[in-house]
Amino acid sequence: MNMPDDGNGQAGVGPPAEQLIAVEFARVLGSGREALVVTVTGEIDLHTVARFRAAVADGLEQVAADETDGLALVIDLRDVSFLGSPGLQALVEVTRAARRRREPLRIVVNHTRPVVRPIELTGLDGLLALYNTVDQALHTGA
Amino acid sequence: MDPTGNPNPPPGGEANGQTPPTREPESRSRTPPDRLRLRLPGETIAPSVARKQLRGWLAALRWPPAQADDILTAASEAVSNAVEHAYAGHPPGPVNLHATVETRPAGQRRITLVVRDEGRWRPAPVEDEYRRRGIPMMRAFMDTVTIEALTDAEGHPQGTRVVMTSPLAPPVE
Repeated sequence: MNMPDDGNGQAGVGPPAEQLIAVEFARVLGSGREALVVTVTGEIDLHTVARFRAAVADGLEQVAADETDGLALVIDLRDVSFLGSPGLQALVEVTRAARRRREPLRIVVNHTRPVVRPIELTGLDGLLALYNTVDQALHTGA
Repeated sequence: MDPTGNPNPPPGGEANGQTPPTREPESRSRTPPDRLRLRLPGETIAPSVARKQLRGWLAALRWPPAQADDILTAASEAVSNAVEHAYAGHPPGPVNLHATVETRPAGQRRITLVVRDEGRWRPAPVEDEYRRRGIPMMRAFMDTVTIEALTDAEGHPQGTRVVMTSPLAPPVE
């Protein structure tokens, strides 16, 4: 609904978001199913969420534009050390956007407490498609 | 030693001469300070600065790591909220974070966090989902959470104060 700006023009104070969060894209083939894996490293909070949001939106665009049958988008959060409510909100938004566009989206979290706890305590484990590994995320049917 | 700890130390620290936000690494033998005072810029970097400083302080207090994570998260959410207030149509104002530790007679300890902004109280708009998620997170991670809209004698808004107390932590061995 209220898509915030993408943060490109964000001046702000302190180290740029790029120093606090890193994003990598990779094409992965796992047991017959292909995925675009977006791996996020660092902290997802008020300062870095615009970059995170832009990365997952970009991933969704790539998956939607791709001709590969059943290509999934996987967001790998296992190297995320902090996940605040701005990041939770971004996850909810990309999940809804993927559903609207009928693109499969999976989110990988291991048992790292700083990521799993906020998701569970806000009840979002019922909404987000969560898996423990990228492999598991790719084993599941559409 | 990470130099990015506090990119914006307040000029001259707090007027009342309390513990400044940037502390030298302390030797383990010294008693850690019983309070932490931060005056943060009302900018998006503030939550991460608050987490970093609190993490160091709680480690010095030998707080159980899992409980420390919860306190950091609650503080981060409160500071995020304050920054969002300060941003809404006004020049960003400061966000003050004050943390104290209290020891019970039996040795159990508890942290009290006070996060105060000088912005205007505004209820979360209906579409502002994540703010509505931030406050439940604070409540889930802390024992008590109180949010007060401050006014002066004439009823003019003077900011918002969030007071949170942590669950009790076991005594230091």
